Amino acid sequence: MYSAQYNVPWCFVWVGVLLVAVLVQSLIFMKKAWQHGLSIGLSEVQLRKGLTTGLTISIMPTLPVLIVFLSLMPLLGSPLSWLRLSVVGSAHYETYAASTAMQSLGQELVPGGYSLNGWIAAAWVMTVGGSASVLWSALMIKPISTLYQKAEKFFNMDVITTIGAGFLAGIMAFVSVVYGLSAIDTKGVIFGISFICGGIIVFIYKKYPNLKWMSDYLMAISMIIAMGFACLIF
Amino acid sequence: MNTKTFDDWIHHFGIISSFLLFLGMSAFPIALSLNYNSWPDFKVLWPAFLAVILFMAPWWPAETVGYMPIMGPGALYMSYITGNVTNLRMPATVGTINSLGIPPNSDACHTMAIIVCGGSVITTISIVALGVLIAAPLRPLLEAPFLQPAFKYVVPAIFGGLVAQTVLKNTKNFLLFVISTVFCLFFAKMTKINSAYYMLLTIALSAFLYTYNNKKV
Repeated sequence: MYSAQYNVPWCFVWVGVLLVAVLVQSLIFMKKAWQHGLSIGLSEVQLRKGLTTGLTISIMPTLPVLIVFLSLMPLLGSPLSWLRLSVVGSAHYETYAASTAMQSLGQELVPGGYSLNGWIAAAWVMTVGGSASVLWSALMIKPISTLYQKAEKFFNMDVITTIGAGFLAGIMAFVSVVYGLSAIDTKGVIFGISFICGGIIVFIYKKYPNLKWMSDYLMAISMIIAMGFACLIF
Repeated sequence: MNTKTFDDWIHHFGIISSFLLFLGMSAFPIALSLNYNSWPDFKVLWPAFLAVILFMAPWWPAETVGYMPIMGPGALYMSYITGNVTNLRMPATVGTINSLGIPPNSDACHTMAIIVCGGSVITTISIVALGVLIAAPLRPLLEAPFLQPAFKYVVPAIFGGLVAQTVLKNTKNFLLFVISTVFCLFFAKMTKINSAYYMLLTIALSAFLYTYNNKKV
């Protein structure tokens, strides 16, 4: 078996350095945004709340990534799985990319189903093919953002805010369908439970404004209750 | 720093850092090939590259165009590096702006999105790194059969509460949300169009409905 070759120390170092670079990018963005936020009137408290939400709300959704890591690790080795699941990758996408690469060489993503060459081919397709979205973002975010800014010059602030609210509601309609209503007897049930929990919390803090702090925990509370129900129902 | 200077800096830094990270990621398989002296036959492998790129490509314009007013460019640059835009970064951003009462499509919203997405990126990378270190002892817990449904349905569990918070905070527009949802459901159930495309159509319809309704009022 080639498992030793899939887990050589220099690969861990490479991936570790790359992930530190990603963290540094995020920290630089955040530092600049923090300073800008203060200069446009956001308070320290608001910014801290944003940071706390970002840090905490992502804990539970990241756990399934760990499960995928555990399943990919024996097949592809730790460094490659670690890299792909930390950067750009998602569970279903990585398995698809590795399988597609190996199939094109007549090999298979099962233990003993591929050679070292097949593993390297999978690494190529997963990293270079998978990172194409980074190239897209580097090339296209600026032109699209500029188009939005130009379009906004034709409207007053009220209209811009209304359009923003419309976009947000449209995104919510889409996720309601894709992550809920499109499969009403499976994910739809969990979506519905979470929606009801969220709705109750909204009702409570709208009726009793001194309980407005509950809005900070709405997503976390609804998510945990719905996940608990998922364990009971399915 | 005024907003224009800030935006210019965001693009400048976002583009340069994205290119550098892309190079770092792409260099990994090159280093593997050099180390093992084993280069894939690209004449055989190119369809796999194409299949993988085409698998995700419809989402790139859809997410960039659709999420730009909510997340802004800075958060999008960051999110495209680490992925999970729809299931992690976007809901975290929307939850925060809802909770703080920040209007979408504003400078404050885009600035806050960077802070939120940065926090989310730190969590994701730290947890996966921790998982690499302690994967073996974690395995029994993460693979416990009774917990599997919780992990399987974590994304709908996030979005239910988030949608409730977003659409119920201002009930006068609830009907507009219902119309957009029915419109989207039609495409999901009755057509075979890629969901990335009807996401854009749904967002466009919703923006139109909101603008039309606002004009009427």
